[in-house]
Amino acid sequence: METWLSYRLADLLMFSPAIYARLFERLNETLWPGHALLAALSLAMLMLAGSRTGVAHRLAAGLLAFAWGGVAWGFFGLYAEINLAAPWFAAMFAGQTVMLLMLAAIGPGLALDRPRQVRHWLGLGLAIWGLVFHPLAWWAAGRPLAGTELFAVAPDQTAIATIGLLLMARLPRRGRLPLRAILLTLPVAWLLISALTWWALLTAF
Amino acid sequence: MPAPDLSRRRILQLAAAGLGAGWLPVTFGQDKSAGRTVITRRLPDGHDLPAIGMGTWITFNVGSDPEARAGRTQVLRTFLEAGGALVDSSPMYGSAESVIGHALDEIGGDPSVFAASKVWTPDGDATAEQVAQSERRWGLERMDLMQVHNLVAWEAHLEHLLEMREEGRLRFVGITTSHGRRHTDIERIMRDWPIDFVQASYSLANREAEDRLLPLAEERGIAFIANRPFQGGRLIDRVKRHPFPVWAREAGLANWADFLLKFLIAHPAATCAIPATSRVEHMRENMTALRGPLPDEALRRRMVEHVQEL
Ligand SMILES: NC(=O)c1ccc[n+]([C@@H]2O[C@H](COP(=O)([O-])OP(=O)(O)OC[C@H]3O[C@@H](n4cnc5c(N)ncnc54)[C@H](OP(=O)(O)O)[C@@H]3O)[C@@H](O)[C@H]2O)c1
Repeated sequence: METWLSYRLADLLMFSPAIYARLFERLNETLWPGHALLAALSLAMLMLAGSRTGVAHRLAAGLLAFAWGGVAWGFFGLYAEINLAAPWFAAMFAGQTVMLLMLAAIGPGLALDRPRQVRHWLGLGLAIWGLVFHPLAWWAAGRPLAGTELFAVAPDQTAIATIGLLLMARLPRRGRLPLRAILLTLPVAWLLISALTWWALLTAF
Repeated sequence: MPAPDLSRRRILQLAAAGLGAGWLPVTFGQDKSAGRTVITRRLPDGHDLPAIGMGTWITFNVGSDPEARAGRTQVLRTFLEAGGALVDSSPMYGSAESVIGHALDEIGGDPSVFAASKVWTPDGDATAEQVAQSERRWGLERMDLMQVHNLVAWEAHLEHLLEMREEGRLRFVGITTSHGRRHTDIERIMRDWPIDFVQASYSLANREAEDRLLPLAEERGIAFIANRPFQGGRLIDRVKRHPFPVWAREAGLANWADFLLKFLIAHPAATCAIPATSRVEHMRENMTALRGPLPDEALRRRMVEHVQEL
């Protein structure tokens, strides 16, 4: 225990920022030219979630689950080569995939409310940030365009946009189950882990 | 009888020549770049080991990235061509061992690498499995040195490793620590167990190892590996912001890397320093420390004072 306390966060970091950034370049390389399809599916998810029919909402939740599954499989498969903890994170993403599938199959699906309250506006902001501005911010910060982190490919964007969508969604309590809080847990946990990783990457190098 | 370096390639070559491998002497310490002699240190079995090795923490953990793998192959090639031999890794370093194996394969021929890895698992019964895993990842028939990483489940692993050494399944057994952790336990093991190597942090800015570990290593005939010689990069980054002192150049030191590393290997009990780098130009700088005059005690004191004042 005493030994563990003597470790700084940066001591546990086992890869360099450059190699981490390369993961996204390599994922995008593999995916290309599938990005058009990805954009179409993301747009379809938003339109379905914004529509009025229950089936559409279920499909929207299914597409969001697909995004989480894609990250669990694609990104974390590659990340596991350089981070021994990655399989644990992949399990988190797989867990969220299952929960979103349940939201689609036995829950109300993903139905977006028109922004009225602060929660909705906050959600809208986060969703736009995750889907559009976060990837652009990386690019503006000097990352090559090929290394852009995208929704359904990169974990941070996927988590940010998901938190936004969940804040905007109509998610009534199911009996004693606080659905929204349950669905927000893993995305928020991931962002904390990611923030710690970035903190370590930026202070160590 | 000196123990041979049984790389898979060499075994194949010997098999092809119809020879047994048991007699072949190790050829570490040869000066490959037609220059001055390489600085070597005598190992417990009488062999000589070049005093600058190479670490792989972070730098070689690049996964399957083809571009980065090609870069690391160049780093390892530069190291070996400059006369280096000891490469240190661990299963804790993610893909580093596999990346080394890939690089050795790319370099081909019969690189005289001194393969040093670690056992790192809380399962005290998994020692042999981890040794086999390292052999597989490096693409070698036999590891030269296996160390118990950070003393994890050390008692069980040491027993198994020493047995394996007896059976000729590896050449040397060691233990490691870093950042000054658990030195009391390290000392106890150095006194009580017949280990060949000990690895701990030692740099010009962190000389704690000089107090007890290095003298004990000398007394017990245990080889000492200095890890984090640049304090994970912080020390060399700091000194590089300052002009290289004229008196150091006059004393035969070539650059800051040479300065920091020769300081370490000039200690009579230090066997090898293992800086890690991902860059060929840094490797070239680091390998200048493998040749030329070593600082004497008076000069070493001046080096410490100078760096303290920076
Ligand atoms: N418990 C243990 O068993 C343990 C613990 C710690 C370390 N180790 C071993 O010891 C090795 C060395 O320690 P370390 O890697 O932590 O730290 P280190 O060797 O002190 O420093 C490595 C850093 O120095 C930089 N560097 C190397 N040569 C340079 C040069 N000529 N000019 C400027 N910068 C240079 C590298 O960056 P660039 O890539 O940019 O060159 C890298 O970031 C490890 O790789 C590992 O094998 C073992």
